[in-house]
Amino acid sequence: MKKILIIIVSMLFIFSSKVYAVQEAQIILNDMNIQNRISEIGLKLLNANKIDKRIVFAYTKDDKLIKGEPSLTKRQIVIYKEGLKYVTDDNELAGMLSREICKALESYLGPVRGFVGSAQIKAAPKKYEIFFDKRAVDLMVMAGYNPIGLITYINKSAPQKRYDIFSSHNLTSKRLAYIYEYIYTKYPIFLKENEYINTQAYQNFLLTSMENRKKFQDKTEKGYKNELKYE
Amino acid sequence: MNKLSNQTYYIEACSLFRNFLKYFYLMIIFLFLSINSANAILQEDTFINESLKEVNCTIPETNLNYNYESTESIPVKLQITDKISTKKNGVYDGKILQFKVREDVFYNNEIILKRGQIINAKVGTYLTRGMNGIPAAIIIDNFEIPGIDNRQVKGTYIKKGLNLTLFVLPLKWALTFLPPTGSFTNLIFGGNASISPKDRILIYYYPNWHS
Repeated sequence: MKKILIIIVSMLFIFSSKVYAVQEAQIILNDMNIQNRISEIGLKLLNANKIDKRIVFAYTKDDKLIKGEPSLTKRQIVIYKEGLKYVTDDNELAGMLSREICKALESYLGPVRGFVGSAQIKAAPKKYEIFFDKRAVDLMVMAGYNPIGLITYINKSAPQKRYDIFSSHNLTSKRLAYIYEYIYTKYPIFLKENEYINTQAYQNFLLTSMENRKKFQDKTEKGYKNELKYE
Repeated sequence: MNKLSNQTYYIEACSLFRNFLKYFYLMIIFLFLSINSANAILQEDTFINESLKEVNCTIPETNLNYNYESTESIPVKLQITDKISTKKNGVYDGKILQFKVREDVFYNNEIILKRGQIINAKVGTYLTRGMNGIPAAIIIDNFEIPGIDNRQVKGTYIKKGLNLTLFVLPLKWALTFLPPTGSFTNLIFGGNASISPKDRILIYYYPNWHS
């Protein structure tokens, strides 16, 4: 009886360790696939835009491992699992990466090998937020991605605060309105032949951006060129 | 006996038919609901439909077939024809600017751009000046050189205004011990960005970058 019990227990142990090993291998393979996808899209964005500065891409599940802002200090764009869960297609992932590329690229400019540029971004992130959004649109288009993906990604992932006067970030609705205006001005074809028109995320953007879009409509009809103050 | 079996068949057939009807009704209801909900969700961007109806939108240029093996480059020296500045709303996204070629440009002993020739470029985007000494910036890209594929041109010109961050940040840190004086340094603004004909702009043409 004892022998049988020992055999059963050892069998169970061997079996469970094998299952665990298989699961571990599956997780590693899955992580590799995600990392490869991120690197592929990131490098495509860099190459298509002729960006001759070194920028690397990393995927991580644990945000506690990363300290500071690696896109500014190490020019390493870290994509967290938390942020990635909002991504549904390559355009949205490209939008996410493009913003970070713009930030990393800005950290190369200016005195002290870009230290001052990085300090400025850290000191006034709100100032640069919309600037990076707009540059991200340019990067995406040049690499063959649909910039509407940036709208849908931000609409799904960025929360809406009450006010932005004392905040270090702009209201998400304001950012989305500026991106929409930028796409309309420079790349209207994406809005005219909108692939995202039937998606829930874009429809929600249309629904929640009516006031801002009305402001932009007035500006366009009157032919104004000055910058609008969106809410 | 036969009568009884016929009756059972009839009852069974009736119950089957009733079940079929029940599912058929359910299917009709689901179909009706799904069509209605789809109609209710879809919202059209009427402003886009109307304002871009007559506009001939071109597909923007992409750069997907590249080969950066070659390092051979030809500098193209430019200067802007009219001064622009971020000071008085003179800059906006996509504004078309004109640049003059400063020197003849040769490739394989053939002139490809003549001195004084005008080429167009666009304001990529711009940044207004900000607190903490942050300067304004103008980014110019999309240089359209006649006869040259834009994908073989490397040149995004960035012009920034007076950067006071190097002065403001140490001052802010130095005043940390006397609160709230450090916060007053926030009110120091950086300079406006302007591009004048005096500015020397340099972009590069890579003839062997196959695209």
